[in-house]
Amino acid sequence: MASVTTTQLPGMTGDFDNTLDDGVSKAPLVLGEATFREVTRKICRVAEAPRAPLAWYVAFAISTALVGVLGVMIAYAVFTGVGVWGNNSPVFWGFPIINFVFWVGLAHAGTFISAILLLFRQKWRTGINRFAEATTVFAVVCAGLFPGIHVGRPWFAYWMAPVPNVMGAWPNFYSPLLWDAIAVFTYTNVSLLFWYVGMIPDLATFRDRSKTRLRHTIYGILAMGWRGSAKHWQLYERTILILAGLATALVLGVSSTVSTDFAVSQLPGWHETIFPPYFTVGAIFSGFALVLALAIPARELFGLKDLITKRHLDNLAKITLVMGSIVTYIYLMEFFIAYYSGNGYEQFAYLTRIMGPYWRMGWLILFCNCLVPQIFWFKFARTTWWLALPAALLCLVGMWSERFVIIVTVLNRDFLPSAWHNYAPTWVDWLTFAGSIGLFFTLFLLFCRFLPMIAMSEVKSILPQAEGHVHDDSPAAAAGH
Amino acid sequence: MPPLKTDNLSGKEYWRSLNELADTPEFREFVDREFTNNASEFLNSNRRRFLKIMGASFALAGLAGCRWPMETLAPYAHRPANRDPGTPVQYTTAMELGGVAQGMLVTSVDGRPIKVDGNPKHVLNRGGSDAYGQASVLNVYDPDRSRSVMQRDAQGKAADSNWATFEAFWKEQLAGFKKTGGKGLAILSGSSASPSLVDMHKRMTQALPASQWYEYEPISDDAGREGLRMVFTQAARAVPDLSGAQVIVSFDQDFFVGDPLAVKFARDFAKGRQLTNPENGQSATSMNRLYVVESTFTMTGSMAENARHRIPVPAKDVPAVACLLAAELKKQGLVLGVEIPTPGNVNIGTGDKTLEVMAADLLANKGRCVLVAGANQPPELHGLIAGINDALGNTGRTVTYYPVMNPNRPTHLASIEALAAAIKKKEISTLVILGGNPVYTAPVDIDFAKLLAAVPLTVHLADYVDETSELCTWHLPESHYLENWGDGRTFDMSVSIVQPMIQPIFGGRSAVEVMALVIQDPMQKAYDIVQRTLGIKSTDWRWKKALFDGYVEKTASQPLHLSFSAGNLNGALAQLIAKNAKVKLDHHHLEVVFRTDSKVFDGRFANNGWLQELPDPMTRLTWDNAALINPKTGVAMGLNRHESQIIRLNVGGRELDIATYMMPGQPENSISITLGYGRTHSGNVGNGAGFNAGTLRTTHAMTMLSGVAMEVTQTPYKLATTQDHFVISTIGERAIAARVPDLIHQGTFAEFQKDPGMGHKKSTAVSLWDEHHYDTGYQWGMAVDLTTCVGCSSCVVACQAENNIPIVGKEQVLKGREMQWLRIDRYFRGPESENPQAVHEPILCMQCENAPCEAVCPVGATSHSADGLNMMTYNRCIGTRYCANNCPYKVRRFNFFDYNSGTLSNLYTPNILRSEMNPLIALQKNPQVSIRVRGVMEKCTYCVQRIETVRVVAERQNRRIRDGEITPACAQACPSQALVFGDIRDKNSRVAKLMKQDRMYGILNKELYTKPRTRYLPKVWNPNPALPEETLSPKGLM
Repeated sequence: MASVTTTQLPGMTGDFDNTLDDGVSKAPLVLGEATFREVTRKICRVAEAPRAPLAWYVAFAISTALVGVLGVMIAYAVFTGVGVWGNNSPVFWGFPIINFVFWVGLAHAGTFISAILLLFRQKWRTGINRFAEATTVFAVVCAGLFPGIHVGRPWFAYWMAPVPNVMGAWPNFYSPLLWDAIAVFTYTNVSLLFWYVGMIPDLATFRDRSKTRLRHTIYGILAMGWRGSAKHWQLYERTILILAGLATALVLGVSSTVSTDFAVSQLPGWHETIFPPYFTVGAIFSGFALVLALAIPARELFGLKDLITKRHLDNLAKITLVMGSIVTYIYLMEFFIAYYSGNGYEQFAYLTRIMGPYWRMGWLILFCNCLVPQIFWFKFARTTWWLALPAALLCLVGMWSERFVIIVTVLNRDFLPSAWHNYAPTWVDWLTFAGSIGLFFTLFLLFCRFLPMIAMSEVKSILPQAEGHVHDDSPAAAAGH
Repeated sequence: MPPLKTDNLSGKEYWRSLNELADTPEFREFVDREFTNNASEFLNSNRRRFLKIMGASFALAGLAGCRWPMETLAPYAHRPANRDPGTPVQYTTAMELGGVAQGMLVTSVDGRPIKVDGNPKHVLNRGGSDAYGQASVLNVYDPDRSRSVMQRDAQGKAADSNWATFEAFWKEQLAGFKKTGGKGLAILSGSSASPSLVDMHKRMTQALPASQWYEYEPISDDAGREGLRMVFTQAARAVPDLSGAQVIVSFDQDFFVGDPLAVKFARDFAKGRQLTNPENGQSATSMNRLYVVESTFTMTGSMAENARHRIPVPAKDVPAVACLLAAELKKQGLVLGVEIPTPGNVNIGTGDKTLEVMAADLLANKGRCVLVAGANQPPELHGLIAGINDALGNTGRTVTYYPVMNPNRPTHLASIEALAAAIKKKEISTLVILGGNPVYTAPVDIDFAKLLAAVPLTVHLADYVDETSELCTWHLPESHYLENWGDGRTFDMSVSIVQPMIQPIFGGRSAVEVMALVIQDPMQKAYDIVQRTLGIKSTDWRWKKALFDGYVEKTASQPLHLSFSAGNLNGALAQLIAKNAKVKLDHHHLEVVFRTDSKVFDGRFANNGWLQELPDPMTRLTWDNAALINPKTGVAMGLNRHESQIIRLNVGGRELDIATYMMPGQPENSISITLGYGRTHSGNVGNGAGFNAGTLRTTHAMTMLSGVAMEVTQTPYKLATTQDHFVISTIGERAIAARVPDLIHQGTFAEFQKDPGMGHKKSTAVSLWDEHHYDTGYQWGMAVDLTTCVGCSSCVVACQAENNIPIVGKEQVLKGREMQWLRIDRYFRGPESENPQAVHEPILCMQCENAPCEAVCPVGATSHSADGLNMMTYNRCIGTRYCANNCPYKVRRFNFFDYNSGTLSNLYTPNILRSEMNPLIALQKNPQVSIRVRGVMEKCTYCVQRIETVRVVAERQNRRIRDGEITPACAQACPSQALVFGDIRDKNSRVAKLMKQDRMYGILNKELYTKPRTRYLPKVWNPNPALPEETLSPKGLM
């Protein structure tokens, strides 16, 4: 292997603007001292530091408290009845399903980045793919919580699974809820596998650098005996590729399947062929907004600006913009089709979104999901944290509101006006939702602290050194290799 | 319990239907609000108020043990004859309400009555029943009922006692009275036509000639008696026969609710409107026509042919309008022997034209029309109406006069006034109150509570320890009519025997038995007394036949042949009209009309959870009454049109704080309030529900009151309605206007005669796939006739009783979680005026052949049976609620909590901390229907348990099920026979004959192709061609 040399240019540290493409050379994706050793050191030090930053402790305390709240709320609902929520007739689905669809949506960016961008050979993804995948896994955990607890008799939720039994009772495979359960289950497994397998070489690095017996043992078990042999690498690469292929299909499939919960029903506002792509795009949109919203504080907090560069933020924002624009198109299309259908029930379902009892939510969606992402046309907004972060958060608010509106405004005014009834969440609903956010952050913070936040092995592969021809004479030209 | 009305209630989630035309900033703000409930609601006292409302399932667990565990083990070593354990048996009995006995058929399982229906053989019921009758069975098992004799000492402290103590005590008293001939002893009874009670009265008068008997009924039919006395020289009961009338005119008479004859009226009225005879499938050639003059928008008003056939006027102007009609009739040539005074300025809007047309219509149908005066109207109106009926030749044809019990008794009002006077004069030393609750129901100016204190010894027989019991020396528990023998007379005086189904659960005795005790009759048991009174021994075959038929043969009275003479009616009528003309109504001098409540009657059913939670047919209100105000008047007086708020009514220093309900169709400057709410000692269900209108009711104003001032407070109040919970924004209103014609097909009788299909064409839709064929076996279906449905809601209670449907309490109704499987939607219709029409549409499970609910259940808990039922497997349901989302009719109900266990006050408590279902309540449950646990979806099954019971019998006899053999609870209860159930494959079945009609339609079938099995015959009106509907302008979408 070529001797490692310093490739750092003066001034090319974390805040360096590497978003420009000069057309001659590729922009550097790793800034600062871009050596293998330095990459390893930067990433490992987060997990190896004896103490995390104070902010980590504060955030962790808050999120674990929320997890406690979540536990209490779930126990309360399970032991008392789902009536503790705001659900009613006709709004039989409320916060739990809203949150489920929202979290499933958030679970899309990680796999999209790791799998689809891998297949498209987007090298910039290496800086963010690991923690994006982590958001996927954790968001799926949060999502998976809800279908289980939202049913009236959660202790029988497993009946949705095809469990052989003497009664011969079998699930109803016509039901989209079953498709949904299968899709989410599959997606959870594949994304978890994908995340974990990808982490093995880095876990081995952690193991090798462990200074205590405990760390050595735990990381040793997790690394599954990885030695970095060529055979290991070969198997590893092949596995990752297969999983990427699977995950790619799932990224497009899982939200499409979730959307059938709605599209297969016959309620105006749900019964639409546009729903599968609509949900998928919306999911990717919210997922990227989430990664963007997490990347910004993470690079500040853990000193990873050299690895998660402005170019990464730039790219994330661009994809958010693209997805936001597709979402906008779909909104317009929904309204157009409702108008064009000549179906009064359909037309009413859309009018009531923006003029009915929840019109504020309706307009909030249009603002957050259609208008806000448009600021990402401007590079300044894409690369400036105090613009990009609020924008990304607003996109998240918008997408949650979208789920709310899709579920509540359709149900609260369906066919027979006599059955119309508005919906209002209760304190239990709100605390459960807050608890799920707490669960997500608890997991995410633990991940940041104890697992390789950035895929070391993959980042190294995009260092110029990895290419095997170092432009000693012109480090600048080599930086992008 | 403190008065609850004034708890700081916040939020406003109540709108008044259809006429959302105002666009005030407050209203906009409300419509704009995202969440109408705030999430912190559970913390404020508002909810605690709900917590206080406990269901009929309230577990006085410790107390329930008083009697219940006392079981005698008696194994059926030798099974008694005709007794199969677990097999339901039916007995006839009778229920007295308002002094009229209804014939009932009671279903009893293992000695516990579980269901009450109308006796098909009884002249009043003919199988139908009203909501009161249906719900009456719940009272038997009410844990709040009085459980023992109670004695109050001089300090007012009550202690439990027993019958033996009371008997010993009374014997001493009686010994004293025997010496004085009963001087100072007074009995206060409710209105009753029970021969045994009348006999007891007679015996007491003989034994104790100086004793006094008073009779008081808060909702009295005395006006009719006295009115007829004026013109016929004897008191009588006018019984209109609506079935024979082509033209019906109601003067403030609500036929279908609150009237003891409501069941008969509904049946007769429907007979004249049934457009297809289900027996032979033939179309009607005529249809009756209803005109209504009324002071409250009632169900009867909603049946008027269109808004121009209904004249809303303040109650005090109803006689004046009748005079206007009489004058018009005279003008058009009717010879009427009454001098018609010219009423002063009565504002009836466009009603002049209506009266002119009405008069012509009446004259064209002499002998085939009928006019009816409401019980709340003064006697003079009843006299006048009798005169008009007589002049039109209706007497003996469409109106029959029957004798009344005790025709020479003073009116109930006079009677209670006489009692008050006697007490004030210290003439009464002992007062025995037989049932009733005078402290709550007596006119407020009598101040009955104070009078009671002035009587040294007071004895109160009552089924609850109520407001009156609280102030009496002795309280005696009263037995329920299903617990004790008795008798009663119906409108034609035919006698029915009240047959008990169960021993008095709490050891109560009936009024007859207490009277026997009071006079120390040799017979003490009602069973013996009834036999003695009727002169039929229980060994006599006539006794058995009477019990079998539900009435005693040959006891019906012949109609009276009375000759009309105006006599002193002329003067009285002129006086009344002149007096009323002087009463000016404006915003500062409002009128208040007291009405019978469709649910709690006069308050006696206040502790009945089924009735409390039954939506009022017109307002859709549950758990409350309200001041019904015309929106125009209300808005002009500063009330918010779309949200309920507390107003303070004030007349002569008497005040009533009450919530408002904007009711279109109410006359201006007139407020209607139903009686029977605001009880303080009704039990855990009824306490605190609604507002006590009685606080304004005086001896001078028993049915209506004028000169009432209204003060608007800014205190909002939450009314729990089951429809229109929330303000609907403008687009919502437009959508409703656009949809209702699709949901409720309607037309006129003229259109029907031209084309019985009423524009419905056979569907030419072709299915894209090979659908399931339902062409073998039985195929169940139901036809609902919207023309004959009067909206009386007895079907709703019948369904609740049959299918063990729990009540959920006001707080849950506010959240939209009511459980009734069958609901009756009410839509207003007509030009966007203050005077709309209302239509009622019963909605139950449509049993769709293409059921949207079935495909989406992930565990297959809801599926289709071969005979076309959409079935629900409770055991398999995990509660995803997807089925309910996908049900376009929203007829599925979800157990958000364990409504059957614990109390309604602790729904939000984890299950493990709540008690099991009260064993007393459990006695009422139908053993053929599962009790659903929480987290499970439930829905109408067409009473599958009844279908299967009959199927088993038929299959064992190796025959097909006969048409009419199976009747679901709703159809059985329906007095107007608007619901017809049967096998649609059987061409000869009644339902098939109806289904064959081209005008039959399935709701949303055109839109969704659900192929519902519950189908509807359109609402057909029969407007007079001279009174066409004002142009409807259904505003479409966009």
